[in-house]
Amino acid sequence: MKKAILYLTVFMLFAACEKEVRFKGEVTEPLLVLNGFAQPDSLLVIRLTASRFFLEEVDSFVTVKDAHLRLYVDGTYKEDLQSQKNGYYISSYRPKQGEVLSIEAEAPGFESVRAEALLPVVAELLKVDTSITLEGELYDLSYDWDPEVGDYIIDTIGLYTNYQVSMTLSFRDPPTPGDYYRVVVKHFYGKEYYDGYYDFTVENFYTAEMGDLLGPAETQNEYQIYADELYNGKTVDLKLSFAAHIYRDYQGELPNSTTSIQVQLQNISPSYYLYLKTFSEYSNSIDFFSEPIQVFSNVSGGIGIFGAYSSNVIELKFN
Amino acid sequence: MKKHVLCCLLALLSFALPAAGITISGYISDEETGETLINATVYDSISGKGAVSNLYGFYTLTLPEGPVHLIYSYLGYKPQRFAFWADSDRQLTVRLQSGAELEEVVVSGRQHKEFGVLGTQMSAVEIPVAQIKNVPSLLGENDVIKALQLLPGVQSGSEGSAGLYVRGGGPDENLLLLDGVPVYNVNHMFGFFSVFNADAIKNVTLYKGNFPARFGGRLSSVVDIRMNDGNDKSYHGNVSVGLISSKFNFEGPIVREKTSFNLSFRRTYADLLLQPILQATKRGMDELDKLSAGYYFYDFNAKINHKFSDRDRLYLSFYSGDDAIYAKVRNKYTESKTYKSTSAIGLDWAWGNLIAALRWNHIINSKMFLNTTASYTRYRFDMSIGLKDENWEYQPPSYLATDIMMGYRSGIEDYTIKADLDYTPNPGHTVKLGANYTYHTFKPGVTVAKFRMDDDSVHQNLLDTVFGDSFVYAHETMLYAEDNIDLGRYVKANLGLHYSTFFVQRQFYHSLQPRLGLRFLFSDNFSFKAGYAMMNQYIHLLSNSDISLPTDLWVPVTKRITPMNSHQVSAGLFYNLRNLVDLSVEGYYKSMHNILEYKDGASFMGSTTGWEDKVSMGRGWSYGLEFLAQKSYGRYTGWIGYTWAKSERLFDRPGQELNNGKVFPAKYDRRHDLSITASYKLNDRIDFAASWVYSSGNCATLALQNYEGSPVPDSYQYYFSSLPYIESRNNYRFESYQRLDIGVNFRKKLKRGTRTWNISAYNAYNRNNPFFVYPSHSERYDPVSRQYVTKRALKQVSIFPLIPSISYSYSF
Repeated sequence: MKKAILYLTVFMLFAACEKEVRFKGEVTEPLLVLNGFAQPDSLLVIRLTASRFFLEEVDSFVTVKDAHLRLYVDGTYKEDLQSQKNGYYISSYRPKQGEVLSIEAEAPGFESVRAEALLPVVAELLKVDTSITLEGELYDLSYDWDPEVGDYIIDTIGLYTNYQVSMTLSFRDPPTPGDYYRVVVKHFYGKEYYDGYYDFTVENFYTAEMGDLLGPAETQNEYQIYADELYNGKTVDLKLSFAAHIYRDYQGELPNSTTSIQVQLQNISPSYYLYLKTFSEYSNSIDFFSEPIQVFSNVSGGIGIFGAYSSNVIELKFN
Repeated sequence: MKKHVLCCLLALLSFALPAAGITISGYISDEETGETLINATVYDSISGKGAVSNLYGFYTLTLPEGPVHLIYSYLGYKPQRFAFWADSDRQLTVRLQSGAELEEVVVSGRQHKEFGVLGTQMSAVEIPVAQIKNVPSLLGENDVIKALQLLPGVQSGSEGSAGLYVRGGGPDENLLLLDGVPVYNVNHMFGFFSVFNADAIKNVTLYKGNFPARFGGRLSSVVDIRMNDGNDKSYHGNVSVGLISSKFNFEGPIVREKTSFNLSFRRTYADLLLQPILQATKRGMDELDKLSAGYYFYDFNAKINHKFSDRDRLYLSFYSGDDAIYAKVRNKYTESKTYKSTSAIGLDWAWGNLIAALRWNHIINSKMFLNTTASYTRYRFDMSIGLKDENWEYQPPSYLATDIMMGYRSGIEDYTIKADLDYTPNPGHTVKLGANYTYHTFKPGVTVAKFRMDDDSVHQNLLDTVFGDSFVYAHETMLYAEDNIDLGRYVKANLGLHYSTFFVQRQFYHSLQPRLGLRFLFSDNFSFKAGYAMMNQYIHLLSNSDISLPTDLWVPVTKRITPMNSHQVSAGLFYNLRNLVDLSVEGYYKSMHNILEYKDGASFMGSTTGWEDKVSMGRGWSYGLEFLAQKSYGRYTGWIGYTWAKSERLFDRPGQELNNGKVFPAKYDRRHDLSITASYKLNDRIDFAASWVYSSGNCATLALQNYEGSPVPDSYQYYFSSLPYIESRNNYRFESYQRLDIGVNFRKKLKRGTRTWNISAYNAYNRNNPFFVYPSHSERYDPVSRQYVTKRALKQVSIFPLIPSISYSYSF
């Protein structure tokens, strides 16, 4: 709807004229860019790059390899992060839920930067109800040209089994305000390889902003993130449903026996929530007339996002 | 502080005791049309005392018993003189004859105009409607708001828009009154035209500061627009045809010199002209059965007034104006041996104002004038989209139809009653008292959704629901007292108090706002004025854009979002040159508190849900110097206005920081703003007009750095993206804005009237003024390096090139 209004408006602007103009403002210096996401019991990986002036005619960003990064846990110095290739820095410490993690970075030619994130404690999962309904099967066919026959040969190479999965996750939101959630559904073949992420619908869990019905549909909760503003301290019965397509490979190229789907209820740090929200809005914005959308940054002295999340994982196995 | 102000006011009110002498009172009106004249002057050359007619043309003048020599005058009219021996109170209603182009009409003695050298009012400008009609305009559409934008202290917003940014304030901080009734949406066509049809208007006054106590409810300005009452002697009219609209105006007496009416109608007709094109398109598309679409706006103004007696008059004012977008598409039946089907799509958007006011003027006695008004105003936005499909299968026979409708409604509605009392105990002392009560109904976005399915046997309403926010009701009251008093020959003061309350959702706010205006007279044509005004505002406009969209929504204050208020001090020098040219230099400083700005990344599109979380509260300040030279009458008329101004914002409250809690320039902070507007009447047949505008460029927020965005864990956004980094708000300034508009009128007297051809050009030297700028990115293949090369540049979009227009009008 928003697009329709804006297109109409632009259409109303008669004959628009466009020309290249000289930039007359101040050319600003590059800033240090710090990005990373912390998870409990995992090594912390941070990437450092440099920003560039918007009229510079290059596409890539320069990675910063000679920086000095310090990790603090709950305000106490823990260790220096070790430099890896391509601007990556890694910790040897594996943070835990409930810890406040701080990173300080210094690099020659840049202002030093600092970022902080609380690694959230996962919400107390009270109950999970799952219903899986077989919807049907569909053969995966290959059409190969057979020069001897002079026609296409149809071969059955696999089978899609389609299920409709409905799930109710009951969890208790902590009594303190400012808890943020993200729901993710991942599809695994075996332990290592995953096929991707499912689109799914969530019912019975809303954010205040979802009332903005005239907003663009594609930006409405692209990353399935939620704030507890309407549910603070309450029990939430989140209903989730999606169609699962389980593939059986007849040619043996993919492992068949351990196909699984993971449903994750993640508790995400406030800065991570704001980053996803503004990133989604920025990615879908077409509005020339309102204030440009600034993707959220929690890196003081520089730019970037230092987020953290913890996950409740529910695994569904299909044989 | 409040106690001191009250004591001062009471002390001054004590001057209001009846003075000895006789009182002459009545109305001053136009000889030919009977239209009452606002701010006309009556002056007694023997005693040197004078008075000014009020908004309804009423005046009262108390003089010593004995000989009087009264001179009634109004700019552009021949003065009338009356000499008699005054020994008792008397009513004297005077009709002045329009002086046409007589430049030599100069009134001797003091001009008692409220806005001139002698009055206490400053930071206010009155523009004659004839001058507004002469200002060349976009597509030939005379526009009151666009004319006001040419005055010092007033910014226009983005190119072509009818938004008003007065002395650093926002577009929702202006109180626009049509016959005393607030108009909530003053825009047509997304803000490129205003709703005020100049044919229906008698008088326009803009207050930018030093607000009289009778006004309140907005921080930055009051635009007081009065509609024509209607000719009470004979029938007259005007028909005009322009490039985008046609206008019709008709006025006359219902009962001669007792009851009169005035009707004005304007409608655009681009949609009507579009229909043949659509029909031709339809003929080229076999599948279409019906196709109609378009956009139009219209305004309808009506006013009836009836004079019961010399003491009582009744006015009924009405305004209705809408914008509408519509589209109807129906496909022909698609038919085969096995099935038949058809589908249709319909879209209807309409938004606009409806205003009605019933006003009773009553002269209680020769010194007291009472105006009582009951009024209604509403703005509404209605939108509906419908889809309908019908399918018939023949084998086996079956029928299936689906009907989907989505609708959205929002708006605001006010019922108001108010009373204003003018009491003039003596010529040097006027007291105004008043009370006002408004019942607001805020209608946040409500969505209606219907889905119906019919087949051979079953008729199902699968969905029929209404959802959205419930209405919010509010009670607003205002009380005011204003005392305009001469303190000796050289000093005059206007002291006022404005008290307002606002009750909404169990929340009660109130505010006592002192107002002060002082004038020191150096000579009859040179004065110094200073003023102070505090203003309070209880409502906000939620808008996502610089242009006006119909989804913009008025909302009341809440527990968290407290009322905005401002304090403004101003001072200036005023000089009148031979009663022909008014010159003024004014300086001001305004501080604004609890003002709102959208947070980074926040947007609004029609729903109020959670709006408090999307905005930050902060403060702002603006200061500047304004120069105005205005000549309102004669062969040459016009004005030169120059403003030097600065307007800044600071949002540093914990949790509500914008721009990292640092000061940033306001969106329409412009350092220099110069406008020259002139018209010249060559003779009775030809007159010319031109206006030239130069201003510093607008501010815009531009991301000066790009940086690498992180991939989002657990998503398909697994790549590094390039993101813009905005260091501060409004950090880039566009190129300066310049525009010359020119126009010429060719008039010819015909048997029964006068015809006028108007030819005008907007942006006559085709300046590419910036509408917005954006960073562009392109790639080209470099044959030398055999690689693709990235080119980044800043591009500017302009929307209005040279636009010529022509219109024809016939008045009778």
